[in-house]
Amino acid sequence: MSFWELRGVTKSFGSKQVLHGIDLEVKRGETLVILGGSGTGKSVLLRMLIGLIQADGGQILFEGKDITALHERDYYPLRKRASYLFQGGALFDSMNVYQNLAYPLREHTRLTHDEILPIVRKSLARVELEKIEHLYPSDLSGGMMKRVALARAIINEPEIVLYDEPTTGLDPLTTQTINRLIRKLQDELNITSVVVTHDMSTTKHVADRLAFLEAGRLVFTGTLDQARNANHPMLGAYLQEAVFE
Amino acid sequence: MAMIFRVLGQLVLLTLEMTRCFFSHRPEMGAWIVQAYHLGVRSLTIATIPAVFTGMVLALQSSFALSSFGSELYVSDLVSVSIVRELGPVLTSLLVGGRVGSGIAAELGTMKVTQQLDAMRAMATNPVQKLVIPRVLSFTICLPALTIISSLMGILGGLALSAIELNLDGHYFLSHAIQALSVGDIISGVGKTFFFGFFIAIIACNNGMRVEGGADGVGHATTETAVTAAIMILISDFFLTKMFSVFGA
Repeated sequence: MSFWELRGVTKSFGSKQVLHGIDLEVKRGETLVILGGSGTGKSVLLRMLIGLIQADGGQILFEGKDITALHERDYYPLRKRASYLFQGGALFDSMNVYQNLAYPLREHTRLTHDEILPIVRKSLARVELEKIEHLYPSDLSGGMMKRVALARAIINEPEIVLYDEPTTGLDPLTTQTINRLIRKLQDELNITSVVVTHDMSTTKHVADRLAFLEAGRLVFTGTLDQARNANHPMLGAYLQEAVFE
Repeated sequence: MAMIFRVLGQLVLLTLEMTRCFFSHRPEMGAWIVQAYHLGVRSLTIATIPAVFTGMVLALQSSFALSSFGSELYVSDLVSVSIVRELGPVLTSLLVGGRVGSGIAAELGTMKVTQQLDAMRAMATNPVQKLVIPRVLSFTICLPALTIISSLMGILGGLALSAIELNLDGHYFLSHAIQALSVGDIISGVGKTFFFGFFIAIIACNNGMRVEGGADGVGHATTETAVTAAIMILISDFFLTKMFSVFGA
């Protein structure tokens, strides 16, 4: 059974149509990479999956239930099951690392500080960080911020993680580390993942399936092997880049 | 005109959402106290220093006017009633409102453009409950307290000037300043600031949470908040004064 099913989803901002009739399925347990250039509507599509933005047209189903236009509160059950890794990390800059990671646990569980602290440390260890609980986001490097955000996203062991450009703006070594972490979490926690990126190294490392967006239209869906035989010029150019890498 | 109605609509919706969250979640006292410190305690300087000098200027100016009638002895009455009924509440609200309103708008605006508000939503929490309620309610309570303190400081400023410049006895000044005030003056003066505090904070939160773009949007929201809050204070001051006078205050 699939988690999400999108049928003819459209979205416009003012007079600019960003998404044109997207049909897409996200299967349970897979890592789906949504690939495409800047401004093709990838992030908009990802945000729609948990209702951060609502579609103008079409239908979004989650486990068969229509979630296209729910009231904000009605998305909460879905958002408790799915975590979202924001492009810039979106760590709360008034809170230190411990408070950032503890936030979802404090909000949705009755755990005490003594119970939360080891969970925070375990989550940080998963992203290969330690002894930084007292630091504030302004004290962290870009790569560390992404990893802390990833630790926050997985702290309550979600069924689904949505990654918005997880490696954008990072140096190649940190990019490799993040890619490896995504794959590791995938294997360890059996998380369903949707990764939005234009980075082919990320795609190569984590993708079970690939969806390619071009100018707001979904022009290809399939495995990497199928993509190589797809004969689509733009997708071909991306794959070519992957060969060079 | 359409813009005014749009903003009013946004404020009404935010207030309704705030009310719903307030009654459906347990209050987060920790967040309220933190905000009371940031918005209230840290505004003491800007609230009190201008108040002292306003009281001194008021005493000085009124002494010039009253001396032509030989009524300098009424300076204390004039200073206390003017400060408690009008100058204290309005001046404190304008000064503190500028500081607090622009601060809230900048903070929430930055959170918006750095996706921290979306992160809250994505973690199934409501930014209105987590951010708006502590700020609005703390400031609605803190502003009247700041007004009481600044009004006292204003009267003390008038007393200091009267004692030094007009050779009025301090005890005489204070006793007349207190006698001149009725309970209605205090209720009218302080009562207005509950409304001012609410207006300033809700306008700031609304502008902050609706920031679009980057630093430019944050700057625009900050300026707009300071301007809108000042206009709102001055307009509502008239209607609130009228309202309190209808109720005998």
